[in-house]
Amino acid sequence: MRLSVPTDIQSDIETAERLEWWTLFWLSTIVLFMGLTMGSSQAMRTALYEDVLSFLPAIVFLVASKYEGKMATPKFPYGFLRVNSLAFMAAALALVAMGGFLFINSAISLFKQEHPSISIVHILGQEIWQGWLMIAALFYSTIAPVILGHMKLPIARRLNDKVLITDALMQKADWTTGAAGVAGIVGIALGLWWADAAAALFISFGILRDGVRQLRAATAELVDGAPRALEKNDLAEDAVALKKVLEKHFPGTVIRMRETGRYIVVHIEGSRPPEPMPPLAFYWPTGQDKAWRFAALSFEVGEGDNNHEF
Amino acid sequence: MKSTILRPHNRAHSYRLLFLCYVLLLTACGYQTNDLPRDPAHTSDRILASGEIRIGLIENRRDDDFVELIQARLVDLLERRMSAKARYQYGSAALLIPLLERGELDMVLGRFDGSSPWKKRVFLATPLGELGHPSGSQVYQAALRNGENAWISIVDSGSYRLREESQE
Repeated sequence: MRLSVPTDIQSDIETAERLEWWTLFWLSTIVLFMGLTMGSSQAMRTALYEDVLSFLPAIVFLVASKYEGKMATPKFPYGFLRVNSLAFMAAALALVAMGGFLFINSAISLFKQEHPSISIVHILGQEIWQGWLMIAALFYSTIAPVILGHMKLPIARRLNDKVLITDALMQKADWTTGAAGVAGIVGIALGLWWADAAAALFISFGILRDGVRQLRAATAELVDGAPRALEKNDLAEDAVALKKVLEKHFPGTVIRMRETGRYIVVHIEGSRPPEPMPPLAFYWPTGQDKAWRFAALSFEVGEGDNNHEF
Repeated sequence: MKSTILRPHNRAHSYRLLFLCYVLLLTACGYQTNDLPRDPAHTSDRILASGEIRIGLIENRRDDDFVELIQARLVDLLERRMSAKARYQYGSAALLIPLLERGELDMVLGRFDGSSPWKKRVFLATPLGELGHPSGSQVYQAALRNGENAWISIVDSGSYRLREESQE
């Protein structure tokens, strides 16, 4: 079994790490700016809490990528490739929490018919309605997530990294919530007290949908489910194709596959390993890139026989 | 196992489109207006139309000349700004604040402290002055109906100006 990160994806991992550090930096400036201009706007408050939550996927990605490259130890003989699965679960939970938080808060505001009060502030001797400042802060909060999210997506697809995909979804949640906040404040300015909470409620459905889908995939990964697609909860296309190839080479066997982080691990029951054993890339289906995904193949002849792992 | 093909997120796109429409709709509603923010319950419009500001005064035996002076100055400033006359109703906070919440008063003036139970139910404008009290300091300020952001901005602006003047 491969116990370290393949060289094919090393540079992409480094780029992703750089992007995540940038994410942490920009998020810090956004939280600071929003905190300074926050009034009693519901969408503004939830957008701020949600920005704080969105630190989590970036942090867990950085922690996971640091561990993923580590060699196996006597205490962790299989290495640390699966740290990525754990990080995926944490990132998915953060996304669900954000969507749930937004949904509950805005629903309560609408139910209680809370009328947000926004007054004036004095800056350099000028009187300004605080709502305009909030709109500026919310607009600022959408810029970095849009850019960083779009930069992360292609890398996440190349790396088959579900943590990074979830982080990109979190950035999407960030900018849509920021935009919802702008709509909410414009609504308040127009005298529509419900606009703020309605915009936040509307956005929360999309975030919850993304979060629940990622959470289901993360759960499947942790309970040794078959490899899931990157951006939905269906089976991964390359894993399905790989299974077909293996069925041709090892007819009449039971083939089980699971995902360890970004890698596919296969176990074949009812067959001995071929002599000589070809490299794993030999079995990788044609038309599918990312042959590095196929990280391990083990055989089990039957009860009482020895296991062979490659 | 069934084979899957990655497809674009059509549903996500339609969400974005809907959201964009929502923003455009709101923006269109506010187009050609320079009278923002507005009051959802039209407090400032009603004052301008009727020429009357309905003020509740919370009675307090401790109130002195300072309170009377600053109260008179704020009311005078608002009367001039809104081209309206003040009409007073006296009572306790427990009587006046619910009237304010129901829109039967436009403003309540009185002493409030940091732990005031009314803080969450109404908007408290910039304090006009700090007053001594046996249980700690209290501030004399205007309480306004939540969400009436145009009226809140007018009263808060006046309160801020008066406080700045009294500090000079």
